[in-house]
Amino acid sequence: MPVDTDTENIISEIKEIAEDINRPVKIMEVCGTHTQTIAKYGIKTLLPENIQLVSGPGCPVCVTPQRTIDSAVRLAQNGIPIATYGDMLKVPGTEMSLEVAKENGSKVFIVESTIDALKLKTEYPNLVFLAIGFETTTPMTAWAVKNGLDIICAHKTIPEAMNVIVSNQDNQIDGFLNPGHVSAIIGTRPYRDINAPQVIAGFEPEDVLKSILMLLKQINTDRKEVENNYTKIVNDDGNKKARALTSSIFETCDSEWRGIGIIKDSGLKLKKQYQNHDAMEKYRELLKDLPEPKDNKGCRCADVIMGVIEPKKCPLFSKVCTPDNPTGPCMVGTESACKIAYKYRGDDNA
Amino acid sequence: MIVITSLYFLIHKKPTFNNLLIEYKIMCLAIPGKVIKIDDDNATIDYNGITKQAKITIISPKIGDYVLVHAGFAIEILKKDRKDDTI
Repeated sequence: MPVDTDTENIISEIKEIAEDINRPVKIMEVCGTHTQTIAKYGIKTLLPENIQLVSGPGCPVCVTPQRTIDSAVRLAQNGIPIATYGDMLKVPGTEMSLEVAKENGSKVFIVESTIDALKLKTEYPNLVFLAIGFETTTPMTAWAVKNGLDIICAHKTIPEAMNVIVSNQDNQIDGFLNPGHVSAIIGTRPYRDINAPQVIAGFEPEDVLKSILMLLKQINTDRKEVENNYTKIVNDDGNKKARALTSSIFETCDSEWRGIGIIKDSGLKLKKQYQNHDAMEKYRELLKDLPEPKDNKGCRCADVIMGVIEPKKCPLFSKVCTPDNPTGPCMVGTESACKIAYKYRGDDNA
Repeated sequence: MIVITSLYFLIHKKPTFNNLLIEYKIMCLAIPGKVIKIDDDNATIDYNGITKQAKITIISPKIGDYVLVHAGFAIEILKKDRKDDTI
C-alpha cells in the first residue's frame, strides 16, 4: 500500500506551526464545495485542536433572500413557469418552497444549465429562470439573457461578503480559504483589499490541507496576503472574456444576503437595455403584496454562514431541521453547511 | 483511529468520475474533460469515455485541451496537460 508521504508531511508541518502559533485560530472556507471536501475527507480530524474550520457564505441557496423565493413562488402560482438549479427547490420561502408550489400544480423545472432553460423556453415562451450563484455562474446567465431568457436575478459577488465578515466584531476570522472557481473568473486582484490572510484553494483534500498550511504560515508571520494555491486553474487576471460577458449584461448593485442583510455593491442587476428580461419588473403587478419575510424561530443559519457557530451548535440541527424537512436554507443545498454536517454527522468530522 | 480513517480516505477514496456526474448539479463543482470536437461555440467534451456538449463562449480551447466545465460552460483551460479525478 503506497503511503502518501507528501500529505503526511503537510499534516506534520501544520501541527508544528499550530503549536508555534499557540492560540486558537479560526479559518473560514468561503466556498461550500470546500466544506464538502473538508467533511468528506475528515480534514477537521487531521488538524490540531487550536485550528478551527468554519463555513462561510459561499452557498448560493443559503444566501438567496426569502423575498426572491417568494417572488418565484408567486409567479409559478400565477401560471408562469419557473426554471432553476436543483438545490433551490427545497429552500423554504416565507409561505412555501418552490418544491411545494410544484407539488401543488405549478410548473417548476430543474435545469442543469441556462442552456437547458433556453431549450425549455421554446416550449414555454413565458418561462422565467431564477438565476442564483456567484461569479462562476453569472456568465452563463448573461449569455442566456443575451439569447432571450427572462430572469429573476439573485446573483451575488463574493469579495464584498468577505469584507463584511472581516469587519464583523462578533467573529474573529484569522484567514480565508478562497473559492477556487470564483477565482478562476475574477482572478486574484479583487481579494487584495480584504484585510486578512487568504489562500485560493483547489478542491482535492491535499489542496485544502496545503492551503491551510499556507494560511498558518501567513498567520504565524503576521502576513496578510492573497496566495494562489490553485495555479493550474487560477491566474491573476481571471477569465476576462467571462467578466466582459457579465458586465455587458449586468451592473453592480447593493444586494440582500439572507441572514446577513444588505451588502453594498455585492449584487448584480440587469443593465437598462436588458431590463425587458427582468421578471421582477415585467410582473411587477403580480408581485405586489408579497408576504413579509420571516425566518423560522430558532434557525441559526445566519450565524452558520457568518462562521459564528458550527451547524451542530444550532438547537434545531438534526432534531427539528433535517434535509427532508429543512427549517432553514443551510440544510438544503449540496453545498450548504448544515446539510453537509448532517450527512457526515456520524463521522464526528463535519 | 479517526485520524487513521481520515488518512485512509484522503489517500484512497478520491471521488470517481461517475460520482462526479451524479454530483454535477452542485453549483460550484466543475469537472475536467478533454475537448474532442469544436463546432462554433459548442464543444464535445470527453469525460473518460462519456461525452457531453459544453459551450466554449468564455474560453477558446483547441482540440485536445483539457477544460473545466461548470453548469454547461467550459470556464477555464487546465494549464497542465493532465486531468485529475476532480479539480
